[in-house]
Amino acid sequence: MIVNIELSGGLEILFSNKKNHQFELSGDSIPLKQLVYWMRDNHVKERPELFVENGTVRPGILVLINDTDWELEGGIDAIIEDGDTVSFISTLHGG
Amino acid sequence: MSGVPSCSTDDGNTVLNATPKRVYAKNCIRCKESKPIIVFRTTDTLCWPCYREVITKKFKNNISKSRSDKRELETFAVSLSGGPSSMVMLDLIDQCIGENVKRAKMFFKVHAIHIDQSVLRGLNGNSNSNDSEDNNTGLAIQKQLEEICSSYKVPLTIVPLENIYGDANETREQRRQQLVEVFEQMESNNTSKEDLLEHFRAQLVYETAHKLGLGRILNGSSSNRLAIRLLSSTSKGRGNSVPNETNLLDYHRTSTTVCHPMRDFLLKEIAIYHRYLGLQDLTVPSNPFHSINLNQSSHKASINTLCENFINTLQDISSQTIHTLLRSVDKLHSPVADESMFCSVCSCSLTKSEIETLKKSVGERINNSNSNNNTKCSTTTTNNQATSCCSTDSSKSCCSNDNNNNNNNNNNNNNNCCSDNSSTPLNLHTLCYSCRNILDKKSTTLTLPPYIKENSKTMVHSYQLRNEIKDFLLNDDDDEDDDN
Repeated sequence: MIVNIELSGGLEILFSNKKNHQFELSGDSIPLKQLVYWMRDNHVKERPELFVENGTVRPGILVLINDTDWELEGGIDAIIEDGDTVSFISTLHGG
Repeated sequence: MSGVPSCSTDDGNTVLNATPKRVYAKNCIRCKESKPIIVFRTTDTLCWPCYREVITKKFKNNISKSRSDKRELETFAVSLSGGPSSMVMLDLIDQCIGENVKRAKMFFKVHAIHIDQSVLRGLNGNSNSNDSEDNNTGLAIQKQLEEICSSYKVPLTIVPLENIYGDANETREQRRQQLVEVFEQMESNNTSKEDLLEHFRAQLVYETAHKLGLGRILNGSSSNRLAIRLLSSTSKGRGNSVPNETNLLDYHRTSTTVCHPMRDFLLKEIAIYHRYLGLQDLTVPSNPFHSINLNQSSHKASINTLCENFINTLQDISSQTIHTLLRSVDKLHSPVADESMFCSVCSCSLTKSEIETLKKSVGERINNSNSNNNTKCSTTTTNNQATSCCSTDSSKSCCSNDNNNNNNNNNNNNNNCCSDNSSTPLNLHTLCYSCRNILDKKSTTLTLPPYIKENSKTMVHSYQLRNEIKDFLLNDDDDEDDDN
């Protein structure tokens, strides 16, 4: 499966300063929690605590799944499917 | 979900638990048809057109609440940082007064002001941002702002931050240097740096609005930002001015009001709106000292960022946190002890005890200057007040707020003919408690923007003059019917 990731609001600095990523993962779907952990372990080189905190995305970082509020999909328990776009928007010290 | 224990902090063993997950309606609760894009105010699921309507309605409401006369064609200054909140505010303004508005078009005009902070980039020492790249981002933001403003048909004024030191063309480099030096000398004190930047920016917006002759500034601070400010200002000893800083209307400068029409919107709501506008997000964090810094392993936080983290975490646990905080501060008002006594740096009003200390310090100075009375014009001796070079012209200013404010705005205002502006140190008593904390010990070494000294001088001066002529003054209250 292929997942598109968009990062903005300064968060891209943690991911080699690149805003758009496309990740190929095994399986047909993945819980968001696992995806976030996988991203942290494989793509965040320094200071992972700025992305993940207490088992979820750090408070102050907004998550949109296919341009929709992640709360509609169940928050961190949402299931991400093939072709989905997940956007992480940091609202920290900006705006 | 049942079985989730309720929040309780009384017992040390129970931990705050996140609100149980809700099950939301499949369709927008307003039009009952489209697919929702946002969970609005914890329960309502809304689709984009309905969401936009709801937000616009709330925004219009806030704007009308802040206006005294809705029929007068006022022009508002809009402070634009280029971040999501201010861009969304600009779009909402267009929904109120733009050409496409068919129904209930509102009657006012706007003029956008952008403060260009590019001079401060690179101060935080991020290795992955080099000079040319920074310059490009700065230019890109300006270009985007210009394009957007022209598409909304809103005039835009861009003011570089270094203009806090004046706006003469030939001294631009020098001013940039001065500004950078001030922030460098603050060393690792991030709280002071951020606060000083905030005050400088507010002052510049204010000065620019004043030059353009605009009496009201619309500021796009979201409810998150205001709640964070409420907490951080309180912890920095600015409790006195917190209600002013965070309520819908901020009256702390007598001639200009700052309005926060975005006060009801959470950053989440703003970010989703911003995304649906389809604007390219060029935002660099508005706080240049705190963009994520990969070089320093020991990331030194400031009071402001600690408060931000705290509020964000609480908001995550209970989504009513921010609304509760702002509803509470709604009920408070900033006390004004004396309208002509305000902090020289941030223009908040001084408290009674601060005014007392200031009066004492000015009194001491008068005594000192009396004892070595060989200066060419002493304004202080009681028997030659009429002949002193600061004649009744300027003494008027001590009684009228308007004049005070003019002085406040004019950086190069040199009406203190009998004092040497550059050499006298800043009187720290003319600052409020928290600004004193920022500048204490450093006030002699820092090259501060001229407006601070001007304000301080004008205030001390008007107090002295008022003191000299106080026996001849009528009280404001009994001006008309007093027989003295």
